Amino acid sequence: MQKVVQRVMPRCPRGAGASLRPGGITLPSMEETLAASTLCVGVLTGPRTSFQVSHRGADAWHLRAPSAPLGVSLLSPRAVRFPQGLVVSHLPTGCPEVSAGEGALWYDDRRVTVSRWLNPPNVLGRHRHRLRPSKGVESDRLASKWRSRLGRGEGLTPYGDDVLCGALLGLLASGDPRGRWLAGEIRGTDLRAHTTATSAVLLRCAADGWCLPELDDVLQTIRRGRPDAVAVSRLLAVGHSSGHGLLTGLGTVLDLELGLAAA
Amino acid sequence: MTRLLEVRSGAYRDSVSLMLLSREVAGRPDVSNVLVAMATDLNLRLVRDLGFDPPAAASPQDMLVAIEAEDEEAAAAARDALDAALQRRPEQRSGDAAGAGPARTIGAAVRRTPDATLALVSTPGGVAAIDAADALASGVDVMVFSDNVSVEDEVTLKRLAVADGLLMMGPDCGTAIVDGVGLGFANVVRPGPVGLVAASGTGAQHVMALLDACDVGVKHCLGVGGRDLSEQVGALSTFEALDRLDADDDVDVIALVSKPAAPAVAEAVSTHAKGLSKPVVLGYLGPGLPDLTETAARVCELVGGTWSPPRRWGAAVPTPAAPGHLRGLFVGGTLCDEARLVVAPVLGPDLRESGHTFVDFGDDALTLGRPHPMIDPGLRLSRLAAELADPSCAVVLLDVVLGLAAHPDPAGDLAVVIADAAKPVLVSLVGTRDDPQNLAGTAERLAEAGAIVHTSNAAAAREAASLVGSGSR
Amino acid sequence: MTDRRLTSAAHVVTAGAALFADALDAQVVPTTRVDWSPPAAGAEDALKAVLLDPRRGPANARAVRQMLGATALLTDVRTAGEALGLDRGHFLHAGPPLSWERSSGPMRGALIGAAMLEGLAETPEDAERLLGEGSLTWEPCHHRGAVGPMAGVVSPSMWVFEVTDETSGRRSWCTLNEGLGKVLRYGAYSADVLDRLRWMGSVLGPALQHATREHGPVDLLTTIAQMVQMGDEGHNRNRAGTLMVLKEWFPHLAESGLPASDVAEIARFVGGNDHFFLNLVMPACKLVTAAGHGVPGSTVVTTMARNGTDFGIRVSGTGDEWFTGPAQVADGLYLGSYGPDDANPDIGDSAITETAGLGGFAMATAPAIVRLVGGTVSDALATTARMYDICVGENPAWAIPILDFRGTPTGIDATAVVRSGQLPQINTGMAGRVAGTGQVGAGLVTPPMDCFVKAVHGLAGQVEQAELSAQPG
Repeated sequence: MQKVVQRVMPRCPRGAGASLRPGGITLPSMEETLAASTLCVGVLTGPRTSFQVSHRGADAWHLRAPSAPLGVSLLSPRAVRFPQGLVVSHLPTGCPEVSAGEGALWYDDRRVTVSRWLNPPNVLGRHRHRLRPSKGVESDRLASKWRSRLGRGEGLTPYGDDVLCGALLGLLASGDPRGRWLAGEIRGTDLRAHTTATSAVLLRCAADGWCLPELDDVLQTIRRGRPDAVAVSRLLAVGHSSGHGLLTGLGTVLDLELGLAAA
Repeated sequence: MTRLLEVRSGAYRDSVSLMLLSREVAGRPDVSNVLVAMATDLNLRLVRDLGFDPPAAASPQDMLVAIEAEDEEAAAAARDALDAALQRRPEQRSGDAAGAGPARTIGAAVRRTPDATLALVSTPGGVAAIDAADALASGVDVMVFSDNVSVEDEVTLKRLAVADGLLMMGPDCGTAIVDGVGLGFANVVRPGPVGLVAASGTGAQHVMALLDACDVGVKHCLGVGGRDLSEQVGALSTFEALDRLDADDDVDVIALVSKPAAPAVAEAVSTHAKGLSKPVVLGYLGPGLPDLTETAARVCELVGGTWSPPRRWGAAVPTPAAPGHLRGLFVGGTLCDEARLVVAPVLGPDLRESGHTFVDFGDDALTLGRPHPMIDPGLRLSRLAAELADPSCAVVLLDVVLGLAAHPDPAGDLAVVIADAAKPVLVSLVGTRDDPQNLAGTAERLAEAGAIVHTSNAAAAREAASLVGSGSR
Repeated sequence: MTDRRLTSAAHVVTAGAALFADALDAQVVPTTRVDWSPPAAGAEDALKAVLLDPRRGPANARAVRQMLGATALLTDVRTAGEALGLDRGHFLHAGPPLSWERSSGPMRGALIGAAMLEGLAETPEDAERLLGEGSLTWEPCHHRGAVGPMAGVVSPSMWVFEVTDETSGRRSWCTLNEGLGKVLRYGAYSADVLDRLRWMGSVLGPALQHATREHGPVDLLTTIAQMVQMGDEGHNRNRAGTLMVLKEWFPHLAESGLPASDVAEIARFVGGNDHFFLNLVMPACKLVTAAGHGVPGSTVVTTMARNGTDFGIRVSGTGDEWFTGPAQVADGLYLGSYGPDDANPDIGDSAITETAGLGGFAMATAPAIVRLVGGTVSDALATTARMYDICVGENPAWAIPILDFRGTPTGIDATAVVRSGQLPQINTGMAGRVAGTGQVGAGLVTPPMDCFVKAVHGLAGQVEQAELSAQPG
C-alpha cells in the first residue's frame, strides 16, 4: 500500500518572513520508518528472512529466526529499549507476516526503512578497572547455581532471571573471569525451554554484554564514584520488578553502595 | 558523632512528604538518624528521644530538621541533600498541563518536558534570536536553522550559551547529527567513532556520506554556523563543540569542516585542538588546502577504517563538450565553493572573467520567498533547462543532496530534464546508503538519463573542468 | 577532563518549520512542537534586547529566590494613622495613581465613604465636592507598602493588619475585611456601611490587636501553605485560612476580659466572612513580591493592581515605574439581578495574590470555586498548568495536592507573557459601576496585554542604560 502524505509546508524554512506557495506543495509519498539498533544491521541489510513471533505484547514484539541468534524486538516508543530493538512509531495492527532484509523491515508487503541507527550499550571492556568485584559468598553461589534461578518468578521477565541478568552483566563489566564462564553457559543453553521469550532475549543479549540503557547509566555513574540516585531510580522504574532484580544482581557481584534499602 | 538541629519557620510541608524525605536522607552514608517533621508535640518528643534539645518556642508551624551523623561534614551533606530534596519537583505530574493546550514558547515546552535536551529553532530570522535565547535560558542546547540573524545577536547568544555550558548550533545551521538524531537536513548515518564540528552544512554532509561509504560511522555532527570562525564570533561554539566531542567516550577522532577561519581565530582553534585528548583533523576548505574528499579520507585513516574511493556512475567516456563554458548549479553552498576551488587551477583563477559561472541556489538572496532548493527544486530545474538550451554552456555541474527533510525524489525531475541534454551533465551526489531516497537507485537513474554521477564533489568538479573545451581539442 | 554535559537529542523541542519536526517523527525521536506565533507586533526589538540581556537569567533567579525567602508574620493590628503615618485628609487607594476625574464609580464611592467616616464631610455631596476640588489627597497603597482589596481605600482611623518580613525587616499593611455585599471597598457608603466600619474601629480592631499581641506573631505563609492544601486559592476562596486564624485568636479573645457579647460578635463576624483572611493573604503576598522587587535586569512582575480605570503592573528590573493599560470587565457570575452592564472594570490590589502565585495561579487547588466563576474542574487544572508556562519558578512551600504536590507557579515573567500571548489569570470580585452599589458578582479577568508590552519596552530601556554605563570611559 502506498501512502500519500500531504504536507502543508513550513511558512519559512529559510529566509526571513518568507512564505511558500499558498496552499502548500505536495511531496511524493514517504515510506514508513523506524529507528534501528545497530545489532540489527545484518538482519536488515541481508537477504529477506521470515521471522517468527515469539511474544506479542502491547509495547514489544519479540521475533526470532534461525539466522539471528539474538532475535529482533519490535518496540513502541514507550517500550524498554531491548538491545536488538527496532523502534517504530506504532506497532503493526493485526498479525502481519514479519520479515526483514533488503534494507528494510516488512509487515506483509509494507516496507519500513531505517531513519536512525542506535548503538545499544555494551558493558564489555568499558567499565573494567573501575568496578570492584564482590568477594561475598553470595556472588559465588549466584554464579555457580545460576541454573536454579532460571525462570523463577512471575511476569514477562521472572525475577530470578533479572537477578541473574544483572549479575552476569556486573561480572562481565568488571572483567571477573566468572563472567565469561557464565556467558558461555548461557549461550549454550536453550533458554526458551526454561523461561519466557522476553527474558530469554535479555539473557542472551547479556551474554554478549548488551544491556538496557538504564543499567548502563548506573554503571557509568559508578565509574565516577557512587551510583547516582537518579540513575538508580530510573533503573528501578524498569518493568514491574525487573529493574530491582537487575540492580540486585549487579549489587551481588559488585562491591557497591547502592542504598537499595531506601528503594 | 555530630548532631545538627534546625528549626525552620514558614516552611510547612505535609507529614507524609516529610516522612518520605526523612527516610531518603537517613539512607545516606554516615548518617545515623534523621527526623524532618513539623514541630508538633509528638514530633518534639520524638526528637528529644533522639537526644536533641529543641527550643521551647518551636510551634507546629515550624519545621524541625534533626540530623545525627558521623561528623560535621556528613551532617552538612545530609542537610544539603535535604534542601535539594525539598526543592525538587515531583517526578510524576499527572495533572500537569491538563487541558492547557500546546506550549506556546520553547521555555514553556521545556518546562513541561523534563527530558528535553535540545531545541530546534527555525522561526523567521528576525525573531529567531528571541526563541534561541528562550531555549538557552531554559537550559537546553539549541540548534538555530534560521538565517538572517545578525552577527551581533549571534555573538550575544553564543556568550549566553558559553556562560551556561550550553551548545548553540547556528544560526544558519543547516545540518546536525546529535547522538544519531538528524536535525535539519541530515543524512541517515550509522553511529561510529567520528565526531564532526561543522561550520558548513553541506560540507559536513559530504564528509559524512564519504565516511559512510567506508563503513565509518559518525556519532555527532555539531553544526556551529557559517560565521562561527569569523573574527567577530571568535569560534565560541566551535570551542564548546570540540570540548563536547573530546569528553565523549564514544568519539575517537574529531574533524572540523569549515571555510578558512579568520587568521587569529584559526590559530586559537589550532591551539585549542592541540590541548584535546583526541586527534583533530582541521578540514578547512580553501585554495591549496585539502578538498572535502581528502579530509574524509584522512579521517577514515585516523579511525583505522578502510578508505573506499568515491564511486562514479555513467559512461566511461563522456560525450565531448562543444566549445563553451562550465555552469555550476548548486543547492549546497559549500559544495559550490569546493567546486569553484577545484576547477580554478584548470579553468583559470578568475572563473567569472573567463565566463564560467557558479550559482548557489541555497543562498539567502535566492531563498527569500521560497523554500530551500533541497526541498523545492523548481527554480534550479528551470535554470538547468535554460542552460541545456544555451549554446554558450558547454558542461553542467550539479549537486544532489539526499537525506532526511530533503526532497524525497530529487532524481525524478532531474532525470527527465537531463535525458534531453546534448552536452555533458555531471552530478555530485551526496548521500548515505541508508538515506530514504536510496543512494544507488538515485545514481543509477541519473546515469541512465545520461549524467555522470560522482559521490565525490571534487571528483565531479575535476571531471567537469577536464571536459570543458574537450570537443575542440 | 571536565564533566561536560551529555550531548543528546533524547527529546527535542521544535519551534518553526513543521518539516523538521516531521523529520524527527520519522526518526521516532520524541518531539514537542511549540505552538509558535510571532511576538506582539512592535515588541520584537524590545523583547530581543531583554532576552539577550545576560543579566536576565541570574536576575530572575535571584528575584524568585528572594521571593521564596521572604517571611510574613502577622505582628500587630493598629490604626492606619499610627501604622502608616497617614495624616487627616490623606487616603490610600488600590491600583496605580489616579485623578478624581478618571476615577470610576466604586473608587469615588469608597473615597466618599472614607471622607464621611473620618468626619471630613457630613453628606456624600460635601465629600464629593471636597474630593473634586482637591482639598483631600490620595495615593496608591503600593506607594506606602500597603495593599487594599477592591477600591482599597484606607483612611487614618481604619484599623490595619501589620505584617512583617523577618528576612528584610519590611512591613506591609491591609485593612480588616468588612465582609461581602454592600461594603466600602466595593464603593458603598450608606449609613449601615459606615456603622459597620465604626464598629470595626471601636470593637474589632482593638480586640484583634489584643489577641494578636497576646498570641505573638502568626506565620501567615505557613497558614497559606495549609489553606492551599485545604482547597483555598487565597483570592476568591479563603475559608480555611479564615478559620485557621480565628482559631489562633480565639483563646486570647476569650481571655481578653471583653464582654462575652463582643467576643461572640467578633467570632460571628470573622467566622461568617469567608474572605476575612484575604486581607492577611494580601499583605503576606505583598511582602513576598516586594522581596523580589528592584533586581536590575529582572523581568519578574512584582505588582499587578487595578484602580477601576487602569490596570497597572510594576516589574522588578524597572523599579517603581507603573506600566498601565485599560482595566477589563471580569467574566463571571452576577449576584441577584445584576448583569454585565452593572459591573465596573476590574479594581483592587488583590491581584497581588496572583503576582505571588496564588489566586488564579493556584486555581487547580480550589475546584470548589470553579463553578462560582463559571468553569469546570478541568478548567481549573488547565489554568494553573498555563500559568506555569509564564512563570520563572515554583513555590515548593505552597504545594497543590492534585498536581502531586507541585508548588504554585511563582514569578510572572513579563517577557513570557508578551511572547506567548498568555495573560495572567486573575480571580476577582466585581464591583458595581455606580458609586454606592457594592458588589455585583465574581469572576475571572486578565490584565490588558498593553501593560506587559510597555513593561518590556521599559526593560529594554534599562538594558540600553546598563550597556551604556558598562562602556569604558
